[in-house]
Amino acid sequence: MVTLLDEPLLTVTLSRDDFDCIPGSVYIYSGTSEQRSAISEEWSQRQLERDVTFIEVTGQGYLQEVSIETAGTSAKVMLSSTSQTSAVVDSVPGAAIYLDVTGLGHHVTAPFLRAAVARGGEIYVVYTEPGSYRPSRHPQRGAFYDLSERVDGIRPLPTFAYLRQDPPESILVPLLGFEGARFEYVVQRVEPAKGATFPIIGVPGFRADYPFVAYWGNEAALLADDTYLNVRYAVANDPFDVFHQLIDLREAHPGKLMKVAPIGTKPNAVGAILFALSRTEVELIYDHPTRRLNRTNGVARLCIFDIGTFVDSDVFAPPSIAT
Amino acid sequence: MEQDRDPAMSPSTFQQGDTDRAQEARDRSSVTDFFGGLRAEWLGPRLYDTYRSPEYLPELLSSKPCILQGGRGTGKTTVLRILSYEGQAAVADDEGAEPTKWTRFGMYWRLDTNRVTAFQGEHLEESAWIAIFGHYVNLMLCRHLSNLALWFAAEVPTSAALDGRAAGLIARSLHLDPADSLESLNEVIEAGIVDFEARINNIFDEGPGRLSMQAAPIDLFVAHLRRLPQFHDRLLFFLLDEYENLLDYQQRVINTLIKHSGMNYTFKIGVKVTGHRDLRTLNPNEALQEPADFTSVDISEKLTAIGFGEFARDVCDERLAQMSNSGVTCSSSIVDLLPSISEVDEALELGLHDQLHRLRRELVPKVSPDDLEFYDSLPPLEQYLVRYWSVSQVQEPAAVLAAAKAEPKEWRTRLGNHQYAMLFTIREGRRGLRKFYAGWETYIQLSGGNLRFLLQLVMEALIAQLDAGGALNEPIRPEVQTLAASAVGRKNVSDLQGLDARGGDLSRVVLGLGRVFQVMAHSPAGHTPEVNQFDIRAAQGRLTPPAEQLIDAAVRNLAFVRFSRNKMAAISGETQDWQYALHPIYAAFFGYSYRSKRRMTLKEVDLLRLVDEPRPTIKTILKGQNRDLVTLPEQMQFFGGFYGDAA
Repeated sequence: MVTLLDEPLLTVTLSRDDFDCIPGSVYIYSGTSEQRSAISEEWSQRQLERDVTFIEVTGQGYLQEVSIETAGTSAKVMLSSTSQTSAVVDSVPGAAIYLDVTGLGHHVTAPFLRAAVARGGEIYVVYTEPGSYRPSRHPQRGAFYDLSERVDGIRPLPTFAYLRQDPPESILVPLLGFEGARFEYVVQRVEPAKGATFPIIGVPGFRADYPFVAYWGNEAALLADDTYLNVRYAVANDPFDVFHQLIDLREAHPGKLMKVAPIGTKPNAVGAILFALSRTEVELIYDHPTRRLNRTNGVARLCIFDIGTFVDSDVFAPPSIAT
Repeated sequence: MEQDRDPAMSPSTFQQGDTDRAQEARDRSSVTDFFGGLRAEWLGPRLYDTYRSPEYLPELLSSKPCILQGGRGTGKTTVLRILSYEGQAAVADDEGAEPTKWTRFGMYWRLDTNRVTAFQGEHLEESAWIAIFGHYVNLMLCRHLSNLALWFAAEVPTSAALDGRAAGLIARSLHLDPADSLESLNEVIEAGIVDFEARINNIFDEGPGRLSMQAAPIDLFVAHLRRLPQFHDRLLFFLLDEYENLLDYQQRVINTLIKHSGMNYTFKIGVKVTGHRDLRTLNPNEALQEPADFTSVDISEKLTAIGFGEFARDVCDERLAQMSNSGVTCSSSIVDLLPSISEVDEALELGLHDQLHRLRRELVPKVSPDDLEFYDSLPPLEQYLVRYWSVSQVQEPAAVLAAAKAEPKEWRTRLGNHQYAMLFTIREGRRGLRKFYAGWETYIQLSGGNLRFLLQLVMEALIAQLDAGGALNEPIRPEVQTLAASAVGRKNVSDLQGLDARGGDLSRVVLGLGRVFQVMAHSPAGHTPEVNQFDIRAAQGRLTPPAEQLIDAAVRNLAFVRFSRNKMAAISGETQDWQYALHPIYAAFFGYSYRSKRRMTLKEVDLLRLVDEPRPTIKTILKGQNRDLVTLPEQMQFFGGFYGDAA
């Protein structure tokens, strides 16, 4: 087991042109209406020459089932079937896995990440930051950007249902993005006790001004109950930093159920999913937004997170990753 | 030579200033502490101190199932929690009543969305989910029963214990590992829930495992508990809160339990209005029927009928007393703190004299000395009616005055109809407040019978009083009360976005209709006064599902309130015919009448278009009411970006 206390450098940031997969690896991704999730013909051809197997998730419309396509053949995968998600992840036995979460919904990322962590070995999560977000046509407080058409409602992510007896107390840890309405919705549904909400804001953000936008967007819920006093920060494009923040909160609130709501950046959501895999008494709360078409413009940095090394460390230290 | 000192700048003055500021900060903190804990979940142990017992709802104490309906903030969770054995214990600690003397034991279960929505998916038929969810309900309710029995055993160590054989049978009925005592039964139930969770998370591969029969373990457990002296002839309640979170088939599962709950145990259900969507049971030939199977109580209607004002006053006075006991100098009476203002005084405060002065100057060259004398003899609001009616009817003020003199009876009727609506026009074209919303009774009306809204209003008014430099033992001025009411309205408009999965849609509809009613209130001349309700006219025969869903969500989340136009429908079985209004809590923010008065017809298509295209739709609706946009009031500039060219 690796100790990572002094080795936080598991994130590599570069441009896609400079990025090549490990030869013989598996690359799972989904192309959406967002430019940043697209993979160029040129780059994919270069990876094919390195014997990379591409698995494209082509249909994510259903919460329980996705379509995948690889080398011209398509198949359905039940997300609540660990044998099926494991088969996808291990489609090339023992190969390194790249899970490009840029175009994947959390409902797809979560079960595939669970399957990858259960298998072990070399696991990388890939994420491409957007150039910018689309402003709202009807701006209101908490809805400055037009990111989601609506939310389908709180519902467990596949394979992450939590039905156990609640400990007597719980805390809510929302990982905030720009959409304050989603934060307020989560608070309304979870109804945390007074003073028991500990939001995490992405600092530094993808851009220097984004933390301010996050504050502005979430102003109402942060002001309610003086929740802003409990704010913590984690690097917006890093799953490991948010994981450390969650560990701190776990230690500060032993024995309490941690309700973690990954409603902010995708890298932070990956950190939350990893935390739920590594610790007991963690419940993921997710509202399943319907993403607006073309919600972002352009492409910024590409980040690669070395999940495999992290999972093998004493920071992750899973007591159990079995369902 | 000793330097002259400004007494105002002496060190003792600074100290006094610091002391005053510290006191003000403490007062402010006390106000938020005592009036800001608006949710039952926030109050913690204080919940039981702060709220009165639910004796005012006898339906909750009987053995008959009861469905307690109400919007958020009406106190459903509070009363259900007080009925739980934990709540009773907290109250009993004060009253010294032993659990052995209790006549009832309630078990509270909040139906958490994130749990109950785990039981769905296209890969299984609904009939399979029904069986799986039924098993989950059995596990959960048996866990509540075992927790209750364990709690009682801890409270009364000499009480009789559940025998080992019974524990074993109950475990077997749930298909759990063997148990031979209450303690081991509790453990295997907990382990059973963990195992069940693992199967649900991998249900496609593993299936749900062995499922228990609907209600059988609960019946068995309760039957064995009833053999114990401590539970022998006591009422056992399952208190299920947030019933609206259940999927339709899940409501049918619980409805079936309610239908057959019998004498051994009963259900008390907390649900938002429109949240009990499915009254069917699992038997296609059976449905829950009122009054045979249950009693429903609309908490707002009930509280209004028995005197919401008195109930709310008691709650507020009790909190003021607690504040006073904690060292805050404050009035002991909320009614004294919130004085009302008469319509005449309000009109004068709004600047009526200026208007009347101009009108008199206009009349002098055009009317006879007798008519001028008549005009001078009229009370101020009647004088202003001359102006209002002349604009409304496009007549010369002199002609209106002559008619007033000639037809005094009609004139009085006209005053009664338009007096309130006129108040909105006095400050036309000028900055500042256009209307006052002040007085305890007004606050009661604005709250719409909702205690949470009322506490918000009171808290905001008390803080506004401190902000204005006032003291909490002095009456709060009407304009300060108005600003507080407007701030609460604005907050609740903003909060709509986060209340529901459709919160964004609701927010746009309320902002759209609020703007429509605001424009209509601010330009009432020549129109029906005080229009603030609406019928929704279906495009074809009946409303489409999208419109029905939007309206249901609006009612459920208190964006709208609805009124039955056919009050006998619930009894006669006829279709309910509803009319709607925005909840009165928004009235002070937008600036229109909170009183239930007159209605207009809103087309279904316009209601739906308010969601996607609010700006042109606001103009379309106003055009249908023969109104043009007026300047966006100051308080609504907060949403200026939303209104765009409809501002």
